[in-house]
This record gives sequence, C-alpha cells and structure tokens, in this order.
Amino acid sequence: MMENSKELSLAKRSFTKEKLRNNFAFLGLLLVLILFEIATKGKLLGQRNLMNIFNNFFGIALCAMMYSFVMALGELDLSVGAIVGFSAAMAAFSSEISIFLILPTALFTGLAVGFLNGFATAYLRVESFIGTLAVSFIFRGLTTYFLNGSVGIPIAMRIFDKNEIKIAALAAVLIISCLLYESCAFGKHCRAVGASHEAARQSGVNVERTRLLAFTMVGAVCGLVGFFTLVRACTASSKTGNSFEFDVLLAVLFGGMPLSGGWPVKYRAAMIGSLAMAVLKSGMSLMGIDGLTQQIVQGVILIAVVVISFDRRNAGVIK
Amino acid sequence: MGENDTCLFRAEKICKSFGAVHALSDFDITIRAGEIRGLVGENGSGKSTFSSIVAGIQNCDSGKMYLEGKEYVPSGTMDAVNRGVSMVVQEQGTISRISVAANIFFGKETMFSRYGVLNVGKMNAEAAKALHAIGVDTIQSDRMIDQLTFEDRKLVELARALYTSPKIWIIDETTTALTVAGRELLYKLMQRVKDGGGAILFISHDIDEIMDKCDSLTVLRDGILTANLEKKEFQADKIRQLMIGRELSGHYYREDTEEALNPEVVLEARDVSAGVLSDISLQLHRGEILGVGGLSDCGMHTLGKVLFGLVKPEEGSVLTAGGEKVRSSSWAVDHGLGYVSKNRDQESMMMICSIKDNICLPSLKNIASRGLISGKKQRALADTWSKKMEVKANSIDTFCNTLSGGNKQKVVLAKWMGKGSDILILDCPTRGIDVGTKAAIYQLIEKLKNEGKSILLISEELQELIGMSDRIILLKDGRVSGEFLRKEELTEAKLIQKMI
Repeated sequence: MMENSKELSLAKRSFTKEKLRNNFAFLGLLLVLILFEIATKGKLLGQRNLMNIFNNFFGIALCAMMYSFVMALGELDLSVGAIVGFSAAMAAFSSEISIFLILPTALFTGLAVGFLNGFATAYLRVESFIGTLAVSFIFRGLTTYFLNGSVGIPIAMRIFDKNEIKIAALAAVLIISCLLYESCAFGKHCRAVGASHEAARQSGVNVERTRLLAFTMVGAVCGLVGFFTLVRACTASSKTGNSFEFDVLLAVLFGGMPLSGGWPVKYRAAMIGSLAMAVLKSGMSLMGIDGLTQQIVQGVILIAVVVISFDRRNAGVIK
Repeated sequence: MGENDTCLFRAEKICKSFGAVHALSDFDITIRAGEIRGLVGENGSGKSTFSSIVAGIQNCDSGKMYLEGKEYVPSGTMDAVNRGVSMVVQEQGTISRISVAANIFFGKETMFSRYGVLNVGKMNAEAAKALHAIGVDTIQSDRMIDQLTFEDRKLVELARALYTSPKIWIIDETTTALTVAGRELLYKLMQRVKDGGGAILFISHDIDEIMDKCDSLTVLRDGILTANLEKKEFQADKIRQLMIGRELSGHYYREDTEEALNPEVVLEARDVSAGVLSDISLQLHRGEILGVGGLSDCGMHTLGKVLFGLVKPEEGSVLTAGGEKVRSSSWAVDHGLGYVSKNRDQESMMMICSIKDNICLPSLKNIASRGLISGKKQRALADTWSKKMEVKANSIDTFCNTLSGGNKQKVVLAKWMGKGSDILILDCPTRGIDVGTKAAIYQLIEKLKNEGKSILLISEELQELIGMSDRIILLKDGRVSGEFLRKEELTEAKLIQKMI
C-alpha cells in the first residue's frame, strides 16, 4: 500500500515536471507580459503600443513559422537576417526598372539564397550552422557592396504597409506552413530526418530533398519579410535585417523548440515564441532600455531558455 | 569452506520499475567466483535492466548488492569499473568520432596525461597492448572507430572491458554481434576471466550457447526469478519452458519442403560490385524466401543495402520486375521494397519517437488524401498493425526507446506491413531477440511468403537459413560461393564448407 502511494507520488511528480516543461513557453510569455505591463505602468498593452507589438511580431512570426521546418530537421539557419537585407536591396534596385518587380524580386532572391543554404547543407554536407553563417557573411558583404549606402523606392509603395495586407500575408503563411507541418508528409519527413536521418532514409524519405526544401522555404519567406521591411521604410540599407537571425532563433527557442530537432519540435512554439519576443522587444523599448542593453538581456535569455527547455535525458551535450 | 568464500557477488531483493511496469521485482542472485553464470529470459524480462544496475548505469529502486562481502552501490559506470565490474552491451557501445585508443581508455585519460596534456602516443601504444592482450592484432589503435566494422568495434569493447581485469564481467547479448572468429575469441576470454577467479554474467538468447558455456543458469520471467539451474540440470526444452512460462507450441521454422520456384523475377542484381562485393548476380523470385549467408564480413550486409538502393553499386545494376533500375531508397520504397537493417536502433527506427510515427513514416503518402494526412487515419494504421504484430506497449503513443528489443523489431516490421511492401529485405531480423518473438517473426515471414511476397533473408544463423529459405546463396569474400535449394538433407556442415 505504502509502496503504491510512493510510486504514485513519483509518477505524479514526473508528470508535473513534464507538464511544466511542455507549458514552459506559455509561462514565459505570461511572465514577460505581466512583467512589462507592470514596469511600463500599463502602457505595454495600450492601444498605441499594440500596433508596435504587432509590427515586431509580424516579421519574426513570418520567418519563425517556416523556421519550424529547419528546427525539426535539427538544423539552424543563421542567414535569415542577411537574406532579408539582401532581398530588400535587390527589390529596391528592381524598382528602378518597374515597381511591379519589387515583390517578385524580393521573393525570388530570398528563395535563391535559401536554395543555396539547402544545397550546401543537403548535398555538400556542410554543417548548417557553419554553412548558413558563411552564407550570411557573403550576402551581408554583397548587400553593403551593391548598396553603397542606401537605395530608396517610390514613397507610394508605402500603401503595402497596411495592417490588412500584413494580416492577410501572415494568415496565408500561417495556413500554408501549419498544414505542411502538421498534416503533410513533408512536415513529418522533416521531423523524421531530425529524429534519425538514417532511419528516415531507410523508411523511404528523400533526406536530401527534404533538407533542401526546408531551407528554400525559409529563404522565400525571408524574401517576403524583406519586401515588407522595404515598403515600410521605403529604403533599403545595409542595416536592413540586422540581427534578425538572432530575433528569430530566440523566438523559436523561447517557444520551446529543442535544438536537437525531431518529434519534440512543436509548431505552436513558433507562434508563442514570436509573440513573446515581440512583447519583450517592445517592452524594453517602452522602458527606454537602449539597444546595447537589449542585446545583453537577449543574450542572457537565450542561454537561460536553452538550459531550462533542454531535455537532458536525450543527449549528453547541448548541441 | 563457508559459503561466503566462494560467493563473489550477491544481490538481494532488487526492485526496479519504470512507471507502472515492474522490470524487476525482488530479484535475488548469487554469483560464485570462477563461474560463468548464464542469465536468460524473454525480451523485456529484466535481464538488461539487472545488468545495467550492476554496471552502475542506473540505480535500483530498492534492494542491496554485495561485492566480495562488502556492500556495493555503484555511483556510475566509472565507479563500477573501478570496483571491478565491466560490461559489454548488446547494441553499439563505442563512442563514434574518436579513435580506437580513446575508446578503450575513455574516462581513464588521466593515466596518460602529464600536467593536463594527453600523451596520445603513449595511449595508442597501451591500447595496442590491450588489443594484443585479447589476441586481436588486426585493429590499429590510432584509427578512428567509425572506420571499423560493426564486429570489430565489438572487439574494441572487449579490449576495453578486459583492460581493467574485472572481477565480474557482464556480457549482455554480445555474441550475435560478433563474427564466428570473434565468438571463439570471446569464449577464450571468458575462460581466462574464469580461471583468474573472476565471474561472468552471461546473457544470451542462444540456448545452445548457454548450455555449452555456462556453469549455472538463472532464468527470469517478467522481472521475477523463476529458476536457478546447475549445469547438470540443463535441458533445452526445460529452459525454454521456464523462460516463456508455457510450452512452445508446434514448430519453430517452416515445415514444408521442396517447392517449385515461381519463374517471375521481382528483384535482380546484375554484375553488382560495391565495396567488398564483386560481380554479384542474383534473382529474387515472386513468393520466394531467398536466404543469404556467409561470414559476417563477406559482404552480405552490404548486399542488402545495395539491393535497397542505400548503397550505389560501383558497377552493375539492381533492377525491379519492370526492368527499372533501383535509384535510391526512397524510390525503392515507392516501388514496393522494404528493408530491415541489422543495426536496428541506429538505422531502422526513430528512438525518441512514438510507435505510431514510426509505423506511419513510409506510408504517409499512401494515407494522405489530396496531400493532407488526418490524425485519425494515422492512428488507425498504427493501431491495426501494432495489434496484428502484437507489439507490447501501453499505447501507440509510447516512445520506442522504452520498448524491449523484440518489441522494437515488431514495430520495424509493422512499418513495412503497413506499407504493404511486396519485397522485403531483412538483414538479421532476429538478432538479439527472444525465442517467443523469434517464433512470431518466422511465422510472419512464412505468412508473407504464402501471400506471394518475396523475402530476402540475410542471416548469420545457418539454422535459420536452412529452416526458412527456399533457396540459399552463400557469399565468401564478396563473391557468390554456393547456392542450395531447400532440401531436407541440407545441413549446416554443407553450408559452412562454402563459407570458409
């Protein structure tokens, strides 16, 4: 009898722990919300700031949704910021020919760079962490070289910086990526490759193509982010998309995605994490915390998140 | 002499449970110095749990252990090794991406360091000595472990386990991973430890091997001690019965004999060369069980991978029924091929993943309608096949890393049953699996044959090949060295002649 109750309490405790780990992202989001709501004396969720939060959320969430696939593969993409910057720059150049070229150019540029990332990871077998970092350097360099300062587009293009359009774009990407992730073979293949690429291969998954596609999709969505960044500022500079890769990575990790990939990578983490990041960023700005300090805070949070969320039973070392 | 003089290791009332499952309950065992103690039981009966507790990999929930009369509570594997308990495990126990020497001395690097700097040369030399001490001279100690074959890596593990001259040496289902020569070596080493006054806890599914090598035997069933037998009490049927708890009904292998081959060829290798394989040609017919045997390094495992499109042949080609070339494994799966790897845990299944997702993986495209897959269909598919294969688990959401070896293999097979593959390439499907599951797998293979499916059975167990195959092809050094049809008078001796 006593043994039974002991066992029960043990099982209960591990159950609570599991629950806590699973809902850790929700708790984090709640904590961030409450903390800044108090610190800013209610200004955080004030009407004017909600717009600010949405604008922060928009870019991060767009990218984070597609980033889920790369995370599921157990890979990283550190070039998303560079892709945003480069595709914005290319789109700005194309506007000199015709303003109708802006969107297609941005999308295609992003897709092409994403393809490059995928090709290096899947077929050249470069560790994605190294490969995308290199790609990031290359395209940041190219962006600075081509732009030579900054390039503007007609101010009329700002009509695309409307909430309706943004919400529609967000909804479209959300539906596509969520279906792909949860209900299509592709999403499951990504997780299978992350869980064990050899087992996936031996079960008929085309491992290389899966990797290539995931990176290409991230690239394409970064092109879209580049487009919206461009029409908002109406100018592309070498600073466009700066540290965006860090925002996205922090968002998905904050949402609870494990770096090790596989089946524990949950889609909802992308949304929760992006929201938490958006609140965090706008909260810190509201409080008047300068950019440098914001970086320090984000760095500390990144480490804390990885330490707390990582399931140590499954691996010896945090990758 | 009092009993304590000969008693080297004693465990009393060991209990261990995982959630609601009792892996061990009140398990007692006494191991005397200078004996080889066998430990048998079906998969999931708690053998591996017990050995891992002794080796310090996990703690028991309650119970006490004594080593040489003193209480023994290992704090971890290194502590266990330092106290004289070494273990060699069933699955791969080496650490990849480091050298052979680094593997042998893992955790003991300080032996070779001075002021914190590791003397690699000295470590390599000592590793070479350790390998030489167990009679292995073919493995260079400075090579990367990944360059070695699966079987050679096992030998490295043996060298590591014996370097510390253990008092208790636990051998957990290792023989199936070794070549014939490797097995002989292992038996010799066991004798050496025994003669040195140590003891061996020997876990194996091979009852003949157990009866031959062990001095006494402990039988486990569902975590409970069922019997302790002395050598004179050994009887194969009795042991099997004790393990399973019921009489093994009927036959083990197929009973029918000699049957005409269906002329239709479903898979064909034409002059294939890859790695050790040179100029292999073979044809797999519809409804045939084609056995492929040989020594472990004869290339038969590579052959399976070549046929499934995992390894590209350097020359020649693999063709399916329509004369189409097998291009890649994903192409092969789409065209009705299935493959079960010898290296199950690393290659055939996703461990941190549910039974459901493992079973559904190759069939995702089939159950999708307009590209979308419903959760209901996935559950239905996984449920059907895990029930048909009698996978023992709480639910199909159970993670595969918690299953026993036999159940894992059932999940792997269920995956291909669910896909409905017509051609199955099975590489050692019964390796490291208990008698009960083994019989179930043989029955399944026979049933598939009767349904008109074709099976390529690669195996290191000759008895299995003779018992199951319609035709047996033997390989030697990457070439076909003999072919036999199913006949009653076929014996192991005839096969071995062509293998060596």
